[in-house]
Amino acid sequence: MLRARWAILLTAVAFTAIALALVFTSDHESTPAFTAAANLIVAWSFIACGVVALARVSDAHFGLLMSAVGLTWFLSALTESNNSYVFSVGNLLWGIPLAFFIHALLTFPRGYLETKIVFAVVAAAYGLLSLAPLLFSLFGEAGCSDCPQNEFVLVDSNLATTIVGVLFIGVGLFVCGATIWVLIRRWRVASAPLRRILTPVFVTSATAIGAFLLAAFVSAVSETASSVLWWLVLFAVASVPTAFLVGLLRTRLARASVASLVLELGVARDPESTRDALRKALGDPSLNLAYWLSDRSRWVGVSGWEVDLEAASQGRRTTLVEHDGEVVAAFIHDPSVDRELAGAVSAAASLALAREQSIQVVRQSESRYRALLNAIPDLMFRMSRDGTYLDFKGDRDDLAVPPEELIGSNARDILPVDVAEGLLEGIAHALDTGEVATGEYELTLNNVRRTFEARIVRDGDEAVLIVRDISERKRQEDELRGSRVRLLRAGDEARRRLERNLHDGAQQRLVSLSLALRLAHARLRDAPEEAERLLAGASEELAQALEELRELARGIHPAVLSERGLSAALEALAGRAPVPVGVTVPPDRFPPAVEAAAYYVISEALANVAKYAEASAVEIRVTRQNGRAVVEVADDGVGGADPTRGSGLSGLVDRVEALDGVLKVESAPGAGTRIRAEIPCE
Amino acid sequence: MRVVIAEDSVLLREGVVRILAEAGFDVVGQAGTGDELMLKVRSYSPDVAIVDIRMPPTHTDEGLRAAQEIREKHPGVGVLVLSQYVEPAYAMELLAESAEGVGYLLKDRISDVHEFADAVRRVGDGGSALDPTIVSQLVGRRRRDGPLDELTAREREVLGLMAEGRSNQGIAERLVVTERAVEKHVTSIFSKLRLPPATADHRRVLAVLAYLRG
Repeated sequence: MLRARWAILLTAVAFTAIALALVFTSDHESTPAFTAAANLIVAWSFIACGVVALARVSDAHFGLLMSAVGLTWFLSALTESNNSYVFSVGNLLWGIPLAFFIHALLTFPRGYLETKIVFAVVAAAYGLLSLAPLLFSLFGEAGCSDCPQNEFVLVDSNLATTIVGVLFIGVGLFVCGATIWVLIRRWRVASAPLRRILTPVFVTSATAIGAFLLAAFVSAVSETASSVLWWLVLFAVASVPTAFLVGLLRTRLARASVASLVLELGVARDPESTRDALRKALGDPSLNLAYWLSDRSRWVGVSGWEVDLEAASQGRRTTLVEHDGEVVAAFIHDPSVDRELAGAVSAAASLALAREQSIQVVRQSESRYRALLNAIPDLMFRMSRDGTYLDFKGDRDDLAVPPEELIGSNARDILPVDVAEGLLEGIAHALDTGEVATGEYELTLNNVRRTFEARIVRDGDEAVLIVRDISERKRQEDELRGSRVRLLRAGDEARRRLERNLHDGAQQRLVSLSLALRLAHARLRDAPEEAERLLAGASEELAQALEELRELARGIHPAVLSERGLSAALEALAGRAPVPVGVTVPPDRFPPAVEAAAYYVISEALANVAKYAEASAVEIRVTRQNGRAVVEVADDGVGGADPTRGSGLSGLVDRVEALDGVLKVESAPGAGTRIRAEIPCE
Repeated sequence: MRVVIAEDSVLLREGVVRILAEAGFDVVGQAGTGDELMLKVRSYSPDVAIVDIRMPPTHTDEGLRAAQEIREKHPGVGVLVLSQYVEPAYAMELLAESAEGVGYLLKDRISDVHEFADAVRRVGDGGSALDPTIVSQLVGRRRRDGPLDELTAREREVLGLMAEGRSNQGIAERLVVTERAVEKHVTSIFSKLRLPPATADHRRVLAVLAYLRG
């Protein structure tokens, strides 16, 4: 690129020399010094602008076009030649720099033609400005009296010249109008930083084009007035490259603001002021910042919310900020912001943004911990040694006083004396030893007696209390204790009943049997008939005793249940029931404890059916559902059974709950009784 | 008739042996465990094996398993299982495929020597002997109305005796009626229950039990 710039400059110098020679030797130039000066200013301002622009890759195309305007501008010097052929060729070429100019203008600042319409406008400009001079030359002499002869003239016709002139003005107006329309449209959609670049260019260009149109129009009316206007056009055109340069340099000048940015970032206290400093430095009020949280692989914005960088970068440009080789942040800005400037700002801001990023990381984890804390149902208090509440987390319903009164209050003033003393003792212990103090206490809140468990932890010279409502656990523990006691009692009761049954039944029979046998033995010789009668009676007694023992044994535990399972045991149970019993049982086995519980539930339910239900049928269903044995016994009797009364059903509840199961009894009067037990099998 | 007896209680075993000997049976072997029983059955090829359901080592259902094994390996040997109590489920296990040469009785029945000897003989002859407790449970089981309700009281009695495995002659003796009368009852029962007539006693047992069990 450097070589291209040197080539342009050297060509320009050569052209300058030739042009100066032509102008100052010309015999038809009345004001050589002024003409030379004016045109050199125009040509060199374009060339200078082009060479500056060429220094940057992104502006190279634009730079070439600008240089082309400047270099082709020298072609107008050919018309100063005294040689009629050179003069005539010069007359053909005056439109070329103007065409290049329109092209350059319409590629600014992107460096290319954006749409087909813009491309068409540029093509029209090239067509018009290369054809028009040719047509003028074909149909008329050059405009001055002492100029050399036009060698290309075909017919010197005023009419033809006028027609070409009208056509030229018509098409010229159209091309200029289209160019202005494109520029206005571009201005309207431009962002603020882009507008700052476009403004000087458009203003000077519009002035130049306006002056050009005016001059062209006036030239048709008055020669003198138009020649003055042409000078005006010349200077307006010369000011355009300056404006371009201003636009280009503006972005570079902004780099000077990088230094002040570093200073501003040094004092920025929060992400918002950092962002504002960056906005100022890049001249883009729409700029936004995003911080990279590497531990969570996501972007967060200035306010701490997650940012979808890809979506946010739509139609914008993203510049990454790295610190120590790692991405810490990104800013999303207008695409017109100069890349190099953005890079410089990114480098300058990296330290500050790395600091901000770590602040964001901390903020994020803080909010995560807060969320975690809020997810814990426990109450938390921060208290001083003297029992003053400093902070808390918890629901109004769990506090002894309304939350707005809690902070600043002392435990002694709002809690019962014994509870407050206990807490203060715990706090003192935790603060003195650094050990975790624990304790339980009871409070009546909203007329409900509740049990709390407190853990007291030292945090500096303050204590943190983590308080959990354990009322439900207490209640369950009490219930468990109760059911354990009831199970024990039921076991004792069963043993007592067994003892009584053995004593009253089998034992009595065996005693009387023993008596009968002794009597029979004594009578065997003297009264054999009586002895025979006694023995027959004894035999009967013995059968009864055996039957009773059998029943007792079955009541304690049916052997078939452990040996063959629920299905076989229920068959016998159903067979002895006084009402028809339908049984549905899976053939596979359940754990022994589950089988036993199910068996006794069914056995007790059937006994109740026999005693109270006045039912005509019973359905027993045992199923396996989600790892639980579900036992259902339903009859169509009178209903009205109450599990809380009568030891039979409540004993069953204990037995089932001992296995973590649940037993429900539905027994609306007149609607039969349905007992449902669910017992976990694992 | 040759008998092998398996019973871990020596006292009871001796008692049974004595009763059987008095009733004219030839007790060829005695065993205290299931394995011993299998050995005796193999060695002496008895007509009947009398087996206690609970024996060492587990005292659960060794007798039952031994009985199944005997029926499988020695189809000619009848098996009479004795138990402290009877379970319909066990009865159905024993009679699952055939009632030929099978018996299942409460131990109490031993005391009625005549009845007991009769049952042993039936089983030895390829018939069946099912304890009245089980039969009465099955017959007495409450059902939603069915053809069983159509039977007369006498027919129910006959049905029960059939289920116990008795022959028409045995039923006649028991009820003190003529065999002809029993035959009439049996025909009537089978038609009321819509069962196909069965000739052999043990087949009859199976058909009746299957029906009663529903």
